[in-house]
Amino acid sequence: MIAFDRVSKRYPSGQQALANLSFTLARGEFAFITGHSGAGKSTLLKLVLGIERPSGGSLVVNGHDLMAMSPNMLPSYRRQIGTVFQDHQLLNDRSVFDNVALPLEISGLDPREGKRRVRAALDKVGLLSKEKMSPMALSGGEQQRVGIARAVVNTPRIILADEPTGNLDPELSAEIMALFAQFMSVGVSLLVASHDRALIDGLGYRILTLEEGRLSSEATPHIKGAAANDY
Amino acid sequence: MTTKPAATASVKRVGRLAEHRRESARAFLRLRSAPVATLVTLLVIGIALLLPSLLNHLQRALTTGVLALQSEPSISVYLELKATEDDASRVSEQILQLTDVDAIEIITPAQALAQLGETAGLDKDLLATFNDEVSVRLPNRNPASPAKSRNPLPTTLVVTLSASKDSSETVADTAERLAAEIRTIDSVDSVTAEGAWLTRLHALAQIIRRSAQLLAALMAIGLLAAIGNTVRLSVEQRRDEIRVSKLIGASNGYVARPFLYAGLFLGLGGGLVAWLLQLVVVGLVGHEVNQFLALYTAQANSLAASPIALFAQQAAQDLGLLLGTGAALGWLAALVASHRAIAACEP
Repeated sequence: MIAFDRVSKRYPSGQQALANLSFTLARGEFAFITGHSGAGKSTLLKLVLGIERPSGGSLVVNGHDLMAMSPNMLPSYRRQIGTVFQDHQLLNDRSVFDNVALPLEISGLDPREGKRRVRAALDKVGLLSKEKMSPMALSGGEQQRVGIARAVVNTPRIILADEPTGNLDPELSAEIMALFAQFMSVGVSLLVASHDRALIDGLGYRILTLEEGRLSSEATPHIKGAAANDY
Repeated sequence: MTTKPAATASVKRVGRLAEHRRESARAFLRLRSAPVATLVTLLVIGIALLLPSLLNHLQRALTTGVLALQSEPSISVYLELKATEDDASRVSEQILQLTDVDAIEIITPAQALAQLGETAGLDKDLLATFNDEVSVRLPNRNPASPAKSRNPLPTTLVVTLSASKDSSETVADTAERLAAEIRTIDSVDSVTAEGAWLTRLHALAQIIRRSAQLLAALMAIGLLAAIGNTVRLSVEQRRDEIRVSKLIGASNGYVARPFLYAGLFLGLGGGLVAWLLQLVVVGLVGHEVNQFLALYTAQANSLAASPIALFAQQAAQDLGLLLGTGAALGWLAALVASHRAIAACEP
C-alpha cells in the first residue's frame, strides 16, 4: 500500500529530514514509526499525505505516484486516507456527529447513507450515545476516539496517525491501540507515529525506528499481547 | 469497519443542488450568528450602493422632468413695437442667412396676446380691449401705427438652432454668438438666448451623471475591498477548520463555497438596505426636488410625471438593479479574497 524507495527530503532551510529511506507497508499491515523528536516521523507522514513533496526517490501510495501528483489531485487522493491527529483537530462549533460526518460531506455522500455510516463509526469507537454533544464536552480520550471515527468513516484503505496517544494516559493509550488493531484485522493498513516505546514495544507489531532521517532499525517483536502490563 | 474500497466509487452521491443548499444554509447561519458585525457590513454596503443610485436618480429627474421639454435651445428675437410685418419678414430673411439657424417661427402681437391669454387665463373681454378693432374706436394718441397702439406685445421671432458646424462650439456658445449677430439687425429690439438656462441645466445634469459614474466606480472598488476584507477575516477565523478540511481531502473550491455564499448574501442584503434607504431619502427630500424642478417647468405645465412618480415606477427596477449589483460585487469580492486566503491556509 505504501512504498518508500530511497526517499529523501531536504527542506529549503537545508535541513535534511529524511535520507535514503526505503520500506514498504503491505495491505492490512500495522507498523509504528518511532524515534526521537526531529528524527523525521512527522516529515514521513507529511510525505504520505502529500503535505510535503519528497526531494528524491520514489513514493507510491495506494497506486498513486506522489512524485508525479499534481496539486489539484491531492484532495481526492487524501480522501482515500484516514488521518488521526495528535491534538484531535476536531471542529468545536460542530457536534460530534457533524465532525465525524465531515469527510463524507466533503466526498458529497448522500446524507442518509452518511448518517448510517457516521453512526456505525461512532458505534465502533463507543461514542454513539454522545453524537449530539460538542467535542469540547468530551474527555481527551473520547475526543481522540471521535478523531478516529472521523478517520475511518470513509472506509479508507490506509490510516495514518501522528502521535495518537500523545496526551493520553497509558490505559487510554492501550484502548486506542486496540481500536487500531481492529481496523487492521479488516484489511486496513496502518502507519502510526509514536515515541511511546513502552506502549508500542509490547504490542508485537512492526516498528520502524528513525534516527536523523534514516531507518536505524526495524523490529517485529513477537510478544504480542504482553503489552498491557508492560509499562 | 468494512474492507470496502474508498467511498467515491460505489456510493450514491448527493445532488449538487442539495450540497449547495446545505452550504448556503451554513453560510447564512454563520452570518446570523454574528448579527452586529453582519448588520454593520450590510449598512456599509447599503450606503455605498445608495449614493451613486441617488445621484443617478437626480440626474434622471433633471433629464426627464425639465430637459425633455425642449430638446433644442432657441433664441427669442423681440422686434421694436413699431416694426411692421414687412420688417418681420425682412429680419427673418436676414437671420436665415446666418449659420447654424434651423428655422424661424414668427409670432405676431395678436398671436402672442392670444397665447398669453390662454396661459394666463385672462378674461376674453379684457383681451378684447387690446384688439385692433377696439383700439380704432378709442382715442388714439399714436396715429402712425394704430394697429399696435394698444397691444403691448412686440412681434417675436423664435429662432431654432441647428447643430453647430464647428464641433468645438457648445450649444450655449452658438446661441450667444447668434444672439450677438441678431442684435445688430435693424428693427430688432432685444434678443434672449432662451437655450442658455437649458444648456446650463444640461451641463449640470452632465456633471451629475459623470459624478454618479465616477462615484459608482469608486464605490464598487470600496465595496470589493470591504466585502473582501470581511470574507478574508472570516477565512482567518476558520483557519483551523480549513486546515483540517484540507487534510482530510477538501478541495479549495469546496472550502471556498460557504464564503462565496456569505459574499453573495452580504451583497444581496446590502442591495436591499440600499433600496430601503433610498425609499426613505426620496420620501424625505423628494418634495423639495419636485418644487425645485417645478420652478423650471411650471410655465410649460406639462410635467407629465413628477420625479416622485417616476421614482415609484422605477422602484421595482431599482430593487433588481441594486440586488444584482450587490450580489455580483459580493460574490466577486468573496471569490478573490477567499481564493487567496484559503490558498494561504496550507496544512
